[in-house]
Amino acid sequence: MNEDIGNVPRILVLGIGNELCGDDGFGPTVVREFSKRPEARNVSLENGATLGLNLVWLMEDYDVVLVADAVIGIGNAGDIKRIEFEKVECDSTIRLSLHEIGLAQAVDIANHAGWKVPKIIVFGVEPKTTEFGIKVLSEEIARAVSTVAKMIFEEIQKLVL
Amino acid sequence: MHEGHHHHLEDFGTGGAEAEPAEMIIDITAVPRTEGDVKVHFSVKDNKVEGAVGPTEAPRIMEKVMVGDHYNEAPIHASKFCGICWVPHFEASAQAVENALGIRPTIQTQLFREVLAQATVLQSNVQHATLLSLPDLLRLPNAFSLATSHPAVFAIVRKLEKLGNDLVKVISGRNVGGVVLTVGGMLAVPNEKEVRDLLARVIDAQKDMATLGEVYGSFLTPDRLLPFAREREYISLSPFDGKNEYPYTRGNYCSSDTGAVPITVENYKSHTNEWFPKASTGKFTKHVRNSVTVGALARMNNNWNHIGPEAQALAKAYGITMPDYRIAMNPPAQVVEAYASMFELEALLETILFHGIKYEALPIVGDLGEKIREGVGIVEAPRGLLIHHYTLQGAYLIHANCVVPTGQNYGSMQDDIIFILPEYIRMGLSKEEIIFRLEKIVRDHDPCSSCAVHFILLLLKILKGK
Repeated sequence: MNEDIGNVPRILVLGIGNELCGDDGFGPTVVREFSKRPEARNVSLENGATLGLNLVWLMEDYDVVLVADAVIGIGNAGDIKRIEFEKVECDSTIRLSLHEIGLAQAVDIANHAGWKVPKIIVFGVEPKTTEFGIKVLSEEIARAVSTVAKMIFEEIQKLVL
Repeated sequence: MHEGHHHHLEDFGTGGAEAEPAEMIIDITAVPRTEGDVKVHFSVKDNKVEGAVGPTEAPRIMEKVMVGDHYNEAPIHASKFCGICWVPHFEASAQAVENALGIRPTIQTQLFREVLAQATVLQSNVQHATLLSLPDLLRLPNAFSLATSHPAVFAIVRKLEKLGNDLVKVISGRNVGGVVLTVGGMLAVPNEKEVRDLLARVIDAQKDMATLGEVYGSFLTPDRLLPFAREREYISLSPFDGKNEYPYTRGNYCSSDTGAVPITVENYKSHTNEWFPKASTGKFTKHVRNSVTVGALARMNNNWNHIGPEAQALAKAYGITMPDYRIAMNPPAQVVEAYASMFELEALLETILFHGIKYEALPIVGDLGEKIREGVGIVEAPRGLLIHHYTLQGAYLIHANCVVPTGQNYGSMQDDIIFILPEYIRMGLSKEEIIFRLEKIVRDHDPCSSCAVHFILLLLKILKGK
């Protein structure tokens, strides 16, 4: 973890998704790509995979979490969207299991318990296929990897300066 | 997300609402608060119960993903089967490869792997017993409401979960799918200070675990647990001869009916007997009875003398008896195991520090040629016995088979429901109450369908073709 020096926020770059499920591996691939950049040394990198509720404890040491994830509903396959997590309201009547705890649910549980939740910015890409057993990204999604890694770099510059 | 959740229970009684239903159909399309969806379908006619419990998902054919893998890749892919219990999948996979290649990891590696296994038990057992199962005892809908109604419980759970997470992260290099773990050893080891810090945190958290154990015990009343006893066969690891340990990462295959045997490539199939019931999409297993039960309560029944006096005392305070055939006592047994793991973690980390941590070169694997080799890995995942079996040609996998805990437990869930459902009907319970109790039976087994749903279509195709 990077040291908290003055007002410099503690930043986590988090990739979410399963690399055995086709384009769901987008998040971990972005984190790997980003780790090659020299500025990666000044932030923490995590492959969140399918951590479920553990996302809560993972994020609580940071001020800002930049998330790369495959998000359904953005548009066409490969489309990228920057989403700021403000307040998340989940349907609390849903009887959750731990595998079903994604980012939104983890944040909502933390809110219910009154725990600290960092500022979260998601860089989502629309996946083409998330079928289990596919170990590579679709072409459109693979193309988005370096773009999103660059967007994360620019976001960090804005946060630190 | 459970978009399509719905339960219905229809009765077709002929004599009005008060009369005994002549026929009843129970159809739970997806039991909430279980890992991956589990469906339950039963019909009752003339006091005869028929039906099945099984996964709702399409098969994921995990083993197929590993075919063609280099032996070093298989454990990496295996550790991506499940974000919650990736450690046991890694360990079973690495063990299968090591046994095939005749590699024996060093004592230091074995100790670190045991720490990872115990940390996973701590995390997974506490999560299930509190966040998924406790809402049953308190009749709350989910973990959201528990966070609001019992913030003190939630705060302890958070501390223990974070500890389990950090143990795994520091030793394996990652929260999920540790990057330093590999066949035969470790690519890097944590330094002494890191391990000392973990040890201090484990010791500090022992009192938190004790508090959680005590608070959890206050919820365990018969009217909440709804326990019933069905004599059953418990399957788990048991320690190798002469060892006094509660086994997670090594041991013999142990049945409460027939005793313990070392598991081998030759005999594991005759012990697991995987089969595909017509009425379910699941891959079931059986041994000497119609079904087996695996998991915390199975381990405790088979290894009571190895869990330690503190944990035995907590189990007794919870009302766990030996043998205990009540599946409702499985979540309490999970808390007892988590409590025991806090002492085990202390002892393991102290042993590692005592011997000094050193980087050890990985074993050298020579040219494997094209020779066929087989290996079986057998460990205890938090949810129960887990077996990986691989056939390698040279350095590459040409066949893989995984026997996962929930596949072994589907039959147990089914037999519990067949056993108790007529009694629930006789008691005149409401439809909602019957559904709640059947769901609780499923949840008490702590099923995780995400790795139990696999291989089925492929095998059915093969069988059909023959």
